[in-house]
Amino acid sequence: MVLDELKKIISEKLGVDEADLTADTNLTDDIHADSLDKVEFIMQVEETYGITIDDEAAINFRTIGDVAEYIETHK
Amino acid sequence: MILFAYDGKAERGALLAEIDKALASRGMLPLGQVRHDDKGAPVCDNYFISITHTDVKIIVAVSRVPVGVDIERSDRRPPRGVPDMASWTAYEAHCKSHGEGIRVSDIRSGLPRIRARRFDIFGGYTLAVAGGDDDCETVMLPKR
Repeated sequence: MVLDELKKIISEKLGVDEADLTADTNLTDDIHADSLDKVEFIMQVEETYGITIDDEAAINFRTIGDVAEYIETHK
Repeated sequence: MILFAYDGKAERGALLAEIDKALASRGMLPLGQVRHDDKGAPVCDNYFISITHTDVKIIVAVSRVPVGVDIERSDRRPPRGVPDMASWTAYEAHCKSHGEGIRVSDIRSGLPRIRARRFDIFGGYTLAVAGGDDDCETVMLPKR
């Protein structure tokens, strides 16, 4: 499931406990991802799913669920 | 342009009050109300302002012309395709000075040529400033 894979990527990249992550987890407010973290996350997601994420969409990602939804509709 | 630097964690209001105090001591206007624009970037009444922080370092750039500032720990790894942290902070400062968000497409295609100044205020940290006035003073804010 995409959401579980995203949780795993975030957990590995940011050292956050996977069990603490949900679709509603806010990338900035909850896990304090900065712009460098977010760029690395997006590039990893692109590689994992073989997609290119649109810049405007990437800027508007707030939660893990937002990213999962984008992948579901674009993979 | 003045680069205000603070070594540690600080409450936002207290930090801005210290900056106003430092501006007043130079006969300069205070920042005025500091708020965020619709893109989340800080703006204030009397200057262009840019703020960057790590877990324990804070830099606030105050300028008469648009400015962007970024600080990162030097031991962080830049995204793939970006040669080093100096290039990354220059890019991020550049985006901030233009009121733009970071674009992954810029990184994929190789970062654009960027003019940014590099400052060594804190050892172990990489700091870049894009835009801003030519003249630059660095002010270390007192520890609270």
